[in-house]
Amino acid sequence: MEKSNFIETIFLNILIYSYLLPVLPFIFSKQWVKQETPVRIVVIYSIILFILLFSFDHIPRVFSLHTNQILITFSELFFYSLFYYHIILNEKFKRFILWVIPLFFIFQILHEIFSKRANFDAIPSGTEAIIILTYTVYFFYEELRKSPDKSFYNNYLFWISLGIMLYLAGTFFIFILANNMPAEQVNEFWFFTYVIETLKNILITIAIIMCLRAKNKEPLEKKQPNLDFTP
Amino acid sequence: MFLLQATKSGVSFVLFLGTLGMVVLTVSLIIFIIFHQRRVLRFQTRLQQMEQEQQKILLNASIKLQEEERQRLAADLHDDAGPLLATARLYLNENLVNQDKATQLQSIFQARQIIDDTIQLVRNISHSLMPPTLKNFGLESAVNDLFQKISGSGAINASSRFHEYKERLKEEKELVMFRIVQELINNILKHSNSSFIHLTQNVHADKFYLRIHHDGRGIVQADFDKLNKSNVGLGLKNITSRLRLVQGNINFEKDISQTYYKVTIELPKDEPY
Repeated sequence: MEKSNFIETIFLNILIYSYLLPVLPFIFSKQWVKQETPVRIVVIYSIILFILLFSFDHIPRVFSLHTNQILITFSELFFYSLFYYHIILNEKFKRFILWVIPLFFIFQILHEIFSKRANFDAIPSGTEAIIILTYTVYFFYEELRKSPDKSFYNNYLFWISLGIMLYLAGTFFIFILANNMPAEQVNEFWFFTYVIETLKNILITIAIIMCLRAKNKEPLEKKQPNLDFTP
Repeated sequence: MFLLQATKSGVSFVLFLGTLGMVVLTVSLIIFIIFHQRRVLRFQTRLQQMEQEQQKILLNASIKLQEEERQRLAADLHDDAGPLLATARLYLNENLVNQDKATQLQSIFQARQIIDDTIQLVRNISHSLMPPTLKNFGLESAVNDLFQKISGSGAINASSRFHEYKERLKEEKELVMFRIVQELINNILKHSNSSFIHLTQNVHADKFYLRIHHDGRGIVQADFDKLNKSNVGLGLKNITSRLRLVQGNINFEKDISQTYYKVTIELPKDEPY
């Protein structure tokens, strides 16, 4: 039991610090990457999640575990919604995303007031996962309908969406069933959420590096000599 | 719900199966997207290649036709106008002043006759480049004129009817249409062995239509497409490239009665000024 706790702590720490991975290339990149709104949203999300997880695990708690979980769930929904709001083209769907954020916030408050207090906010987490998965599937559908000029996986947005999708799909059942299982059984599976969340952060980092490299190739034209005729 | 409340192992089983299912579903979706995109990309590349090949064939045909036209012009000028002018020059040589008046007058008369012939020849060449009837009176008159000449030869019965052509097409469109009609008629005369040709014109909605009927041997759309992609059928390729210029379409088909062949040309009408 001691050993499994140790391993779990290691996984948790890896997860917490993996939230800094997407921030690193952003810091060292040139000015233009900072102008890419979807990248900025993902980076801000990573910083906030890092603060929430780090404060929960390392420093005397400002919020209770339950409040922390509510904040994480809302942050995830808020930032992923913003992310998809910027990359989805359909105006109606964008308006739908804008409506979802306040509605989800109201739902969370109502859930807090009327539901029995549990260890984990399973219902809001599950709802959040379904909402974000809907965004992701719609984004993929939109991309499929486009006439592609290059492979979708060369687009950094694909890797961010893939990370988000894998994370939500992989943790969906664990989050939903968390309150229906005894604590020791939850702990048996919980480390899997750390692994998959870390994987998501790695994929997001890869996406940001891809974006950085793609943009670095663009200014090649400026390296050409002046070919205009000057008498 | 029954499973959730049942046993510890039951919940674990649901959890394991659910998570596995979700991950497998996600991975399958991603694989599907990637494969679908690759297939679309491959298809697009193949389509682009085919388009490029087609463009190349059309361009070659157009260049070849231009060269043929230049050669014909060069031959006309060299073989006809050249000897005529050289003969006229012979009549008007330096010795003419030493000749008696009657011979002088005869030489001048002969030279004038030859120069008149040369003028007529140059006019004919010029008319073959841009028919004056087409320029001055429009497509309807030019087509009627062409059909009258064909009928006049007695070999074939040619007639045309323009149902609605009060508003003329733009000059360049008229020329393109006339050249296409010329090419089609030329093909019919050369290959079809038909006894009549009939041309009908009409407009419908925003489209201008021309249809040519004939009762000889003809081709259908599949043959036209095949010839367009092959190295033969220069004239047909030229029709395609001309139609592309005016954003028009052409359709070769056989009449329902299976007696006639018909060629329908469709192009967008000009915007009213």
